[in-house]
Amino acid sequence: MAKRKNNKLKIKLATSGVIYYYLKGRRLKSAEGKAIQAAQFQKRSDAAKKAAANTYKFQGRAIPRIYAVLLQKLFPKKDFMQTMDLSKWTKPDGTPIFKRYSDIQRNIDNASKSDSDIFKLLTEMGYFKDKEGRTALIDICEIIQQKEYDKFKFILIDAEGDEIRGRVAVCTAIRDFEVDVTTDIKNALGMNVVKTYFDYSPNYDFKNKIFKLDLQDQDPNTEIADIIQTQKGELLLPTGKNKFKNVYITYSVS
Amino acid sequence: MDGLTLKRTPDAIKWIQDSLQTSDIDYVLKHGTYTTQIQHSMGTIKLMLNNFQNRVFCASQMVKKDCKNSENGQEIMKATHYKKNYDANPKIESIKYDTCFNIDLSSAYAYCLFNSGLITKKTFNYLLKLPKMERLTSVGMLATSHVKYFYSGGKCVDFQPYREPTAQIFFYLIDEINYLMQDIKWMLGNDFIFYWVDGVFMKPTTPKSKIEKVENLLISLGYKYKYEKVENFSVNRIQDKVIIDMIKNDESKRYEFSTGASGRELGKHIAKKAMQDLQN
Repeated sequence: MAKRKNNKLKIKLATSGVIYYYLKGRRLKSAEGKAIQAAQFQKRSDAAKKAAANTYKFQGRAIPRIYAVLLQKLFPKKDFMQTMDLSKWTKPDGTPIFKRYSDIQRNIDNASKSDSDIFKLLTEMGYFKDKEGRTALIDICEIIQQKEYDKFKFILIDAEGDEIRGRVAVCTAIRDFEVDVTTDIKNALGMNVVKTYFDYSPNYDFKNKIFKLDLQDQDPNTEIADIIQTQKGELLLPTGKNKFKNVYITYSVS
Repeated sequence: MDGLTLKRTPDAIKWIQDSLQTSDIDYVLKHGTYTTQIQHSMGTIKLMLNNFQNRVFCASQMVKKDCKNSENGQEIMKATHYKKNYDANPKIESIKYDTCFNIDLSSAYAYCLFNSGLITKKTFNYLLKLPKMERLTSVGMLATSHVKYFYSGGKCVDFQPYREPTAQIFFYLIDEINYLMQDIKWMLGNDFIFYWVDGVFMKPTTPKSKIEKVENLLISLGYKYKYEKVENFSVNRIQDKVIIDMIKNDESKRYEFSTGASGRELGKHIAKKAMQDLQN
C-alpha cells in the first residue's frame, strides 16, 4: 500500500541554522513555506480567539465549563449573553450579579437546592462529593434511619475485628467506639478541653444492600498514647494509615 | 443515682448500665460529643469528658439567642448549607518548599457571625475575649447534636438522632468562610496551594499584587487576618487523597483530605449526555 502523504507543514532546522519547509513530502521554497506557516498561525490564532470569546469568564479568566453550562440555564435571557465576562453582568438596577467569584458558585449551589435537573446533573458530575464534609455518628444515624435502607444489612467490624450486625447494634457499637477512643485520647493528653472528630467512611453497597463500616484496629501494637506523642492532631499510624480502618480521627486541645 | 456528674469513661458508663439492668430499670442514654447522659425513672446521671468554664456556656447561649432573634438567622435556619471547608489546587501533584505563605483569618466564625448581622456587638466582643478553643466550642454549640439510645430490659431497642435547630447557622458559617476561601483560590490562580477551614497556603513565589488583592478582599468584607510562619512544607497526592505536611509556628502539622477527583472523573463520562440534554 502506498504511503499516505502528510498534509501538515513540516519545519526542520538544519545544524547550519537554515529552516527547511516540507509539505506532502515535497520541500518548499523558503518564501512559500514561510507564507503557509504564517497562514496556519493566523488560522490557529483566530480559532483560539473565537473559542476564548465564547468562553465564560470572570474578570477576564475562563471559569470551569460546568459553571458556564449551568449559568446558561439559570440566566436564559439574551441580554445576559452579550458579554461573556460574568463580572460585567448586572441586575436591572445596575449592580453586579456576580460581585465575587464565589457568587457564581453561590448561584449554582442555590439553584441545585431548588432545581432538581441541576441537582441531578451536579450529582452526576460529582459536585456534591466534594461538599459532603465530615460523616459523623449522627450523620450515619440519620442516613440509616431512612426508608431506603429498610432492606439493608448493617455490618460493623469493631476494633478487635469482631463482626456486629443490625441497625441498632451497629449504632450502639459506634457510640461505644467513640467513648473508648475519646477516653484514650483524653488520658494521653491530660488537657482540660479535648475535641475529637470522627470522620467515618462506611461502604454503601446498593447492589447487595449492605452497609458496612470497618473500625478494626490496623495495628494493635501501636497504642493511641504512642500516636498522641507525635502531636500531629490525628490518629494515624507511622505508616500513614488510619489507626482504625474506616475512620479518620482528629483531635484538638486547649 | 440522680443528679450525679461523673467523669466519662467506658467503665463508668458500663457500671451504670449494668446497675440499671440488674435493677430492671429502662433508661435512655444520650450520647453527645462531650457528654453522656443516662436518663431513667429516678433521675439523670451526667458523664462528662471535658470540664468547660461557665463562660463557654454563657457565650454559647448569647450566640444562640442572638441568632434566633435575628431575621437573617431565621432565614438561614430554614435553608440547608454545605459543610465543606477545604480545597486544594488540582494541578499540584507533589511539591516541596522550605517556606510558604500562609494567611489565617483571625476569629473567622465570630467575625462571620457579626458581619452577617447574626450577633450583637456585645456578644461579638464577649466571643473575642475567649481563648481560641473556647470561642470555637461556644460557636460550635450552635450545631450541638446527640443520639438518644433507648434501653428496655437491658437491651438497646432503638435510637434517635437529634440536631439543634440552630445547626444550619453553624453550617452557614462554614459555607460562608468556604466561599471566601474560594474567592481567594480564584484570585491566587496557579499560586494557590490549598486551604483548610480559615487558613490559605500559597506558593512562596506568589506575586505581591495577588497578595494585596487577597488582603483588600478580606479588609473590604470586614475580616481580620494574620501571616503565620510555615516551614518544611510538602504536598503529596495519592489518587484522591491529598496529604500536606508542614511545620507551622514550630509545630508539626499534617492535613489529609479527599478531593473527590475520581468521583468527578467518573461523573464526567456520565454527565456528558446529561450536559448535552441540558444544552438542548
